Amino acid sequence: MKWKELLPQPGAASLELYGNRRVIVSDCRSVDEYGENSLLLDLGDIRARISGRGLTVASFAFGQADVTGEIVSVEFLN
Amino acid sequence: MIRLFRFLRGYAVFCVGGGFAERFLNLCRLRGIVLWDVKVDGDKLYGFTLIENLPLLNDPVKNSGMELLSVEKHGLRCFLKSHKRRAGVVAGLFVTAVCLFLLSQTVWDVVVPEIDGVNAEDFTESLADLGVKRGAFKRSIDIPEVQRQLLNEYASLVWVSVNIFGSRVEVEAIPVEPEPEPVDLTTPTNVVAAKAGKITLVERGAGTQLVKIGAIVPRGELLLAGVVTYRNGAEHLTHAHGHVFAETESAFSARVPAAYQTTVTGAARTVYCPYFFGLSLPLGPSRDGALASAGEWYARGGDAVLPVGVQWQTVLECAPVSVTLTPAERLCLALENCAAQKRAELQEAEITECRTAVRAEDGATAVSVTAKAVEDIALLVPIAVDPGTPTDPAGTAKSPTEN
Repeated sequence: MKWKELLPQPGAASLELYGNRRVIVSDCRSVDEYGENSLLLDLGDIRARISGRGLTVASFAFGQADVTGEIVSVEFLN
Repeated sequence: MIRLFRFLRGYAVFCVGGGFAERFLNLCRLRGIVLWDVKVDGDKLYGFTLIENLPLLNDPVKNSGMELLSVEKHGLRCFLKSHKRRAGVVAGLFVTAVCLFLLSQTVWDVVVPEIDGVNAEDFTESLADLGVKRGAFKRSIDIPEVQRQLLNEYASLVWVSVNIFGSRVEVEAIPVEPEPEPVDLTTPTNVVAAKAGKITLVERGAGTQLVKIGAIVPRGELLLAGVVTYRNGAEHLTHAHGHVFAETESAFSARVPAAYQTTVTGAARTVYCPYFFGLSLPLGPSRDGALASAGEWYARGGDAVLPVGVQWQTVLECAPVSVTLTPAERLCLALENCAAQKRAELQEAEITECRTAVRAEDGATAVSVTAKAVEDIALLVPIAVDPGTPTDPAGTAKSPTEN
């Protein structure tokens, strides 16, 4: 593996998890599904499904989604 | 901060239902409509946005097949709009502003430091007399005049500074360094016995020693003479002084009759006075009697004591009555009386022996206490001097035996 591959790739989405109460997703292109217990986000090459209880989109602007609630799992789908 | 910003700009809580919530969110994002705290509840979606973005929501709502169900507007503009016809609110805001302005112009607290040789309560009263007190207007305080008056009133102060910090007055003061009391060595004196006793120790400072250890002297006996005679026959007057310790005997007595006049206390009455910026209003009539306790409580803001609180005084109702004492009570009172006399007279003496005798006299109880003690009986008595008589002002003259 080349060392360049270890660096964050330009345009790649990033997720910041704060315990199981908050996740900030940057470079989020759109919301594909939105329900009370799950949220499917389009991050470009992949999609991320955030499952949990009482999920709230605290903010969704400038390509960044701030999701709060009780997060049970984060799943990546191709 | 963000909440304040949103409150000032105005925000709305909306609810949309039906259609596709995801598409609605994506369309809002594409149009730059800021949403926050978006939550899905069944087929409804709740969220917040700025009031100015409400018209922009129409397109995303239509294009996502949703329907705007409700909108509630909040913020400063809505508050003012809904209360613009309420004169009471405007009047309340005005009164609040006036009160804030007036209270900021007054003194809330006066801090007086502990100054050596100056009673803090007296000093605070002096400050109050000069206008520096809680509730006083800051502009009415003439600081240079207050400082000058304090220096005039308190001779023991060398410097006083009155500083106003916000609504708090702090006083700083520096007392005069106490000078040692000058010892008068110029007045010719004799040392005589203040009490009769048996001499145990003589510490002669100056003068001619006339008594020896073991001698029994009556009261008024000359112990150290201020007249010094030299070998050539010349006499000089000097300031005789020193300590002469002797075994003394003191008697104290007390007689307590059966019928005893005393003061009894009855019910306790407490009067509360709310205190507000120097004004205190008693909640009840003032009572005559013995002051049992007094207290005060002031609201605090951090370290500062605010001029708002409650003061109270508890007074015991008193009435003079004549009571008949039991023999035990009479004895206690008599012993207490004797003990007080003994404490007052033999305060600096070393008591070596104490005898107490009790006897009953016509329904009264009499106690007599005889105390033996070792004490300093030296008493300075000035010598009447004719003008022209040579004196030894330094008190350095030696006794004839030393010449």
